[in-house]
Amino acid sequence: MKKASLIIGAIAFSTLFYGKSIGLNLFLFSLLTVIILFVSHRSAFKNKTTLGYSVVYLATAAAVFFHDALLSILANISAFFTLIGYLSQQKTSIYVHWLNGIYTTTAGWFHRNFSVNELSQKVEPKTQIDYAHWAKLIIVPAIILIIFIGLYQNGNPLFSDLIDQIDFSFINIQWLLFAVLGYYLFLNIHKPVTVETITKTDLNTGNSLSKSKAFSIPKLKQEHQLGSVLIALLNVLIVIFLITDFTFIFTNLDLRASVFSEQVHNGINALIASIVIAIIILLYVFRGDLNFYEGNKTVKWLAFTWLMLNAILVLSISIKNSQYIFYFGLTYKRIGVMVYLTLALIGLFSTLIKINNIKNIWYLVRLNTKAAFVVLVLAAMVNWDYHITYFNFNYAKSMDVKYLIELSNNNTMYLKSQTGNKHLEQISVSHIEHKYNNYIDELNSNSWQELQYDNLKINPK
Amino acid sequence: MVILFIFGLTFIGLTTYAIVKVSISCMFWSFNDSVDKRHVFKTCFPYYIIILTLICIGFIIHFNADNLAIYYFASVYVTALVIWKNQLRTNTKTLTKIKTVNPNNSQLP
Repeated sequence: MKKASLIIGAIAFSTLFYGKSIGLNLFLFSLLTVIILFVSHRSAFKNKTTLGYSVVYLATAAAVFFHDALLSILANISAFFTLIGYLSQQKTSIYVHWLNGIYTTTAGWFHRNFSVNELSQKVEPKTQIDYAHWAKLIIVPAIILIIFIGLYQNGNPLFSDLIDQIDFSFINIQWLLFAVLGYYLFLNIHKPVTVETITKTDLNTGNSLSKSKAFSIPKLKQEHQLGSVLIALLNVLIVIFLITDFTFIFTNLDLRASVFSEQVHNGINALIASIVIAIIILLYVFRGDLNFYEGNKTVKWLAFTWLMLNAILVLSISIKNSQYIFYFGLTYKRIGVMVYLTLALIGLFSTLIKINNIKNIWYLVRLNTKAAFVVLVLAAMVNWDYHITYFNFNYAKSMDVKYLIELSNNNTMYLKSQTGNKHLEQISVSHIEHKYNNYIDELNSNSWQELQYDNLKINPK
Repeated sequence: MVILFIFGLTFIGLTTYAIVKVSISCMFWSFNDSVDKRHVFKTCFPYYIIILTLICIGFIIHFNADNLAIYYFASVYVTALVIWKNQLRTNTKTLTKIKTVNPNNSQLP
């Protein structure tokens, strides 16, 4: 059953992807992968998390069908590795899932062939295949057969005609090689393996800090004083910065593009430095026994205040970015800033939890990588090109039409619907028409494997 | 011309084999002789093969998925697996020899 499913998978892989661009095929491949994994791991699929990761994987594949964006493809690949990695070992962190997923995909079959059973201390290679015998079995009869066919061809014209009629041109070697690649891929993933060293380390590493043997109250008092003074001064500094920043925002509502751009970029740079340094300083201060020192309330409150002030800094930057978007339109860079601000907020919040609940640095890494994965998957669900274009046409005070035309084909239909817009110059309209015609040609030339949602829009039947 | 082509192909093949072989042997040399090869496999192979695969995919993308690039880098990947397999197989044989202890050996406790 398993072998049959792998062979079907391999043929389907080649049929779906050989010489094709990405479209419906990625969704069908994802569906096939989930089915093959389900066949091999029925019990694992009773687990809600496995089902959750499978749904995420299929959802990202569906996103590729609906809007063929690079971000969706990246999300689909990372969801694939996450699912495979989760099946290999369920209790590890998400970044270990990724590593295990990549390892399984690249060399799972090879690893299984040389896996070591720790109890019996035996290397377990599968049954030895006598390749020399197989080669003899195939090559020797084939050569002799060809020689005899040649001889008989000269002896009988009817037989010669029959041989001449045999046409093997339908066999595509590259298609077959692609199927072999598909078989190898499914062979690797149907039984996921782990990178033992890192998996073991991750399983043995908890999330909580523990009191060290060198717990000394006089030393901790000094550490507490140093931490309190440092964080208090940083609090004062950030308060002054925020006051001036908000004064600037509320007193300069209408700004030139260059000033706004400089403000947002400077703000972002300051924010990057501020948040990274804030987290590093707090990790250093709360790295060990200070967490268990009874008189640490002052430094803890100062740290919480600093984190909250950093969150306000994030807010001030997001206000500036929103104003910038409102006045000069939405672009990928401006969306990127928003994504960064979201991740920064999550980072600050997780640091707050780390200090409050006495967690270690691995807790932070685990939580933040998970958050980054969620953000990636959510971002992949959105057709950004369409939304950028829609926002800029309907809400932005000004926009760069050339930028919109240069975006991917995901906004083509909307751009076409806007060709009657009075604000568009004739040259922009002709560029949009050109883009639209090219896109329609591309959609019409799509095979069933390359189908996209837009194909259904132009051919509703 | 044909001879030159065959010579070039052999040269590229041998160079590739040598590079891959040395890169794998370096892993085994970096460990003490007493360390079991299976330990080297467990410790190094996953990272080695992941990095090699990423490099191969990177080059294939760089060469716009040209057929020649695909065949060459696929063969690099397969060569690496074969070399690892040979390294581990020699170890298996050695291990079997070590583990086959003469039951009449009087020096055994």
